[in-house]
Amino acid sequence: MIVAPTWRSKAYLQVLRERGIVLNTYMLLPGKEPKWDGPSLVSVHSGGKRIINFSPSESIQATLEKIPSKIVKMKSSDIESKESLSQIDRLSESVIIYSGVGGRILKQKTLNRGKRFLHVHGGYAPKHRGSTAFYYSLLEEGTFGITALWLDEQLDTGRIIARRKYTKFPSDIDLDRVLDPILRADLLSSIIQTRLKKGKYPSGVLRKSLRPAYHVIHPILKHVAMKRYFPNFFRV
Amino acid sequence: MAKANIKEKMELDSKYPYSGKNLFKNPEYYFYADCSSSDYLKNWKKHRNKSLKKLKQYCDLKRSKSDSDKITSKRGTLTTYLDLISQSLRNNVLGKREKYILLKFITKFEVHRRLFSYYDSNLIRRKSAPEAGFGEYTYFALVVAQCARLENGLNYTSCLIKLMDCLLSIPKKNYSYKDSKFLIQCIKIESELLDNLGKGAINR
Repeated sequence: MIVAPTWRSKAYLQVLRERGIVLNTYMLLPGKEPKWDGPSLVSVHSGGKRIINFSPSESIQATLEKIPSKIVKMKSSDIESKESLSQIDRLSESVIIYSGVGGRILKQKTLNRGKRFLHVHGGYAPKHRGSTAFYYSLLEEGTFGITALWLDEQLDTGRIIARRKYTKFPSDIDLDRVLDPILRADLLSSIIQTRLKKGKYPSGVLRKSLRPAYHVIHPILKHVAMKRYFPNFFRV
Repeated sequence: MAKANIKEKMELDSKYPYSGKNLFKNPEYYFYADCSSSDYLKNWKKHRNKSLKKLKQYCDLKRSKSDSDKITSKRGTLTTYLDLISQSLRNNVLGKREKYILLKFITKFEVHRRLFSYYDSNLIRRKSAPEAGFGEYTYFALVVAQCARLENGLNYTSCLIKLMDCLLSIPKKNYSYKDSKFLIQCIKIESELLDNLGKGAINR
């Protein structure tokens, strides 16, 4: 797994660890982790089902110390730099879980190195692809879609591995820093569990048509979505 | 003059975080924007109402020396493409080609926060093209607003609000009578769209 210092990486590591999933190698991108100012433990559930007690303040390093895997420190924070690509080339694994910096489209030279990059997108693709797509799906349908796909040279257009719609969440949860990363981690762990049980990844969904990608939602619309579904999140 | 500008800036300064600085010069991309204040929507509405009031006053002042409502456009200009979409909208439809063109320009604005005055037939900016003028941006905003109303799509609405943040962030002395009129229409449509969204009416 490629691990950038983000909320998403924290969520992936903690959920996978809790579910006993151990990957071969974690490749850490250098950088500063974001700071958490909320409660030390956040209980995340959806549809009445508990997902995890997430600890956003736990550092990536602290979580990794509990996992018996190989840890490689990447030399550059740019995943497509010469140094990073040569480190990726040295990996024996053919599938890399991508938890790099969000919104980046990998270049052909990176995608054509004999490895597949598994990405989990916050939106129900192909209908909701692009940036902050889950806010749009919340406003349009009241659901929070997540899609796992193989990265290709466009934004969220790769072959879909699996997707899921989540509903009913705690009304005071932080969407950007907790709910979105944890739901992505939940789907990711299901996919890996399938791969471990059946020896292959889920066969996925064939894309029928491509809809235009969404762009970062304006905070006013984000606010309306949050007021509707997370009314207890707001500060007075 | 400088004093007047400061006064105008101070008056428009509000608790809405995207007021008080020129967003064409300091582009805003809204990544992880904090909107957790319970007054956020109220502050936005206040900001828009204040702008609307000012624009109406400005329109009354400028009416006598008004420029023509008709936009003259040459082939290959941003305005020509917007005219094409506008014509389609007059019949209350957004044709396939018109929609394609509009989405291309929306993407350009969303990614680069800039449009240019001239584009070739593949909608690629001509090398020598200058950045679009204020009048072209207001026309673009109006077209996006009308599409948002017709299609009720959130991608249009989101782009419109960003455009309006930019357009209302520059000193009013740059507004012509026509620009002010367009902006008034845009603010009204924007408000209507947000009211409808509050009632849960959205095209899926």
